[in-house]
Amino acid sequence: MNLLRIRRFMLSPYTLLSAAILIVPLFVVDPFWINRLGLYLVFSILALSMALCWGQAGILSLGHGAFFGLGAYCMAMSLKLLSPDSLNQGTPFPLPDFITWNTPPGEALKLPWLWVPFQNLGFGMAAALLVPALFAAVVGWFVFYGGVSGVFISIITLALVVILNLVVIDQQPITNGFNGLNNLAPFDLAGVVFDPYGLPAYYLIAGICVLLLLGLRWLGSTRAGLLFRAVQADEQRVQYFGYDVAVYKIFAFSLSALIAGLAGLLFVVNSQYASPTIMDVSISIAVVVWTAVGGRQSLIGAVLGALAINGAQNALSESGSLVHVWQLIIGIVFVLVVVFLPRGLAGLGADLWQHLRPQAKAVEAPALVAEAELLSVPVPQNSHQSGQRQS
Amino acid sequence: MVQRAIASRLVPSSPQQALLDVRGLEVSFSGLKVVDGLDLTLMPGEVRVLIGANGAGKTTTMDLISGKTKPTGGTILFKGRNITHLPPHEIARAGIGRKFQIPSVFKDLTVTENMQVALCCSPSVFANLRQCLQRKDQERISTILHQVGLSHLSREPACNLSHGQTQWLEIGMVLAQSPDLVLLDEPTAGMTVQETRKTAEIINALRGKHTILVVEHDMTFVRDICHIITVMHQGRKLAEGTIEAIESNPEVLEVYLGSGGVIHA
Repeated sequence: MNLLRIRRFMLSPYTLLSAAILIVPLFVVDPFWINRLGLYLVFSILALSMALCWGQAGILSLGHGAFFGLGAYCMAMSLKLLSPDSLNQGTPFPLPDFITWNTPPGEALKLPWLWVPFQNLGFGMAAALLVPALFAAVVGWFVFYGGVSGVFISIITLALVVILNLVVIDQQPITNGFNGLNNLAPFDLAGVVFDPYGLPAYYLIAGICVLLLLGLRWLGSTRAGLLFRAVQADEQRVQYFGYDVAVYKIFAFSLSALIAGLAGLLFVVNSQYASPTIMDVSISIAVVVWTAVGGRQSLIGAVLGALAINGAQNALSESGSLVHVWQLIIGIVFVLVVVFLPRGLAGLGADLWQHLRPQAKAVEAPALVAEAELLSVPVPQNSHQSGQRQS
Repeated sequence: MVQRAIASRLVPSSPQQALLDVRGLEVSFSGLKVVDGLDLTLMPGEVRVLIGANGAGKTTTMDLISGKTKPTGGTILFKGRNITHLPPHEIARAGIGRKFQIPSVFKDLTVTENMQVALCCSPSVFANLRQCLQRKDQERISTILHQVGLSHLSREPACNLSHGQTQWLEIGMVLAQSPDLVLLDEPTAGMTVQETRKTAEIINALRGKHTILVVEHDMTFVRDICHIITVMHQGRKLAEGTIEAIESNPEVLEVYLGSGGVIHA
């Protein structure tokens, strides 16, 4: 029994994918590719947050770029203050270089109040998770208690990312506007330096990705996960069993935003910048595309979708002949998947697995017998027995 | 005589407190009063049937009690507590379960999963971050599935059930919720004669354990399950009494039963 369970666990797609993610560096030695794969895994984490929000809780957010960007900015602010440039501005406190440039001559240099707590790296990391989560909770409180549902949630979240993007660009004195935050210190945690091109950074991202994959799978197996499915099936009905549906949606939305923020944090570790381009509409839509292509109901699908689309995007945009049309190709793939594979690549994989597995049919047999007994139809004893003998 | 005896049982000042006490309930949709000053009192353990012609306001009354629709006037007291303006989930938590007219189960979930959703021991999201149900909950689910005759289908997705089975599943779900008051909106709609009989058996088995308010058209079924009927007409209570009293009430015959022969069908 235990052996069987262990075997089933070892052969589950979750274990196989996790193992693949963790052993890839054995085959890839080029630091450029280690960094690139790390970036794709960051996007996979972002896709996982979308799979939770959209796939499990049924909330199609078109504004996840906002949470991703907020997480990235919080982390980047801390790393900016730790960079040698900021420490050498001639002030007794660290000061980002662009604030020096933006301060009119003759005025005293000072660290804006918003930046002050970010001198602590721990605060920056915590903020990268909690700021998006709290922001989502507040938005969710208004949206879900306000009875907003369906496509209107998508429109509101889309507006949200546009507004946030404009605010960040507009508040140049504290955000550095279009240019964003770059020239950051490498991420150094308890003496371990996470060089973006090194293995520690890759394993940090890969480890978190695997933990989230398993953690969200566990969440889906709890009663709360069951309720998310029930809410998707019939939201109104769930209320009449005593559940406050809005609370469940706010929980899923905030947790998803927290994971998106974590992806933003890891993006900064991997790419060493944060700019308005990573909290805009296009990344918000892109994450929906990755999740849809992979299969939004499946966590594995979300990860594979992000890896596949980003890999394809990379290959297409770097090949000379396709450099102008790669976005068109990605668009066509998206449309084809939505039309012909509504459950995405994961659905296709599951169907193939069902076809290839011979014992799948045998499972249905006892159900048939039970049904026949119910209808008091005499079960053909001979065939039943001979069936047993054969097996 | 009989009516007076019943009336004395229904007087709110009787020593036993009414479970549900609806007073002067009103709701209007764009000027049209669908429920117009309805009074309804249910004693604990009672099985009451609400009848009336289409548009009499029966389903709307259930919507008002369960919080789906907000009343424009009147009060609903449940166990002495005013629940008139509570949201649906709080009314459900107070102890009112509802089976809808159109069977509403979660089609993508299996029969057992449907029951697990209904078995709402703790509605909080954090309390539900646990893997599985306790043994006593699982036993309760299998007991109820046995009661409604769906034990053999426990792993079947709800979308594969027949119409009658879906109705029973929803009744089972409402039972799993363990409400003091069960609202059943046309539980036998679309059922065959055999299925209707079985539904009557299920409801009779619940007698005493739950207080039940049923909206129903099928008079054979009504005869099988209850003693006291409330007749609604144009949003008001037209009459209330035993089946015999209602059947011989000239006003009821006039407005609802028309020819007078329908009730004997």
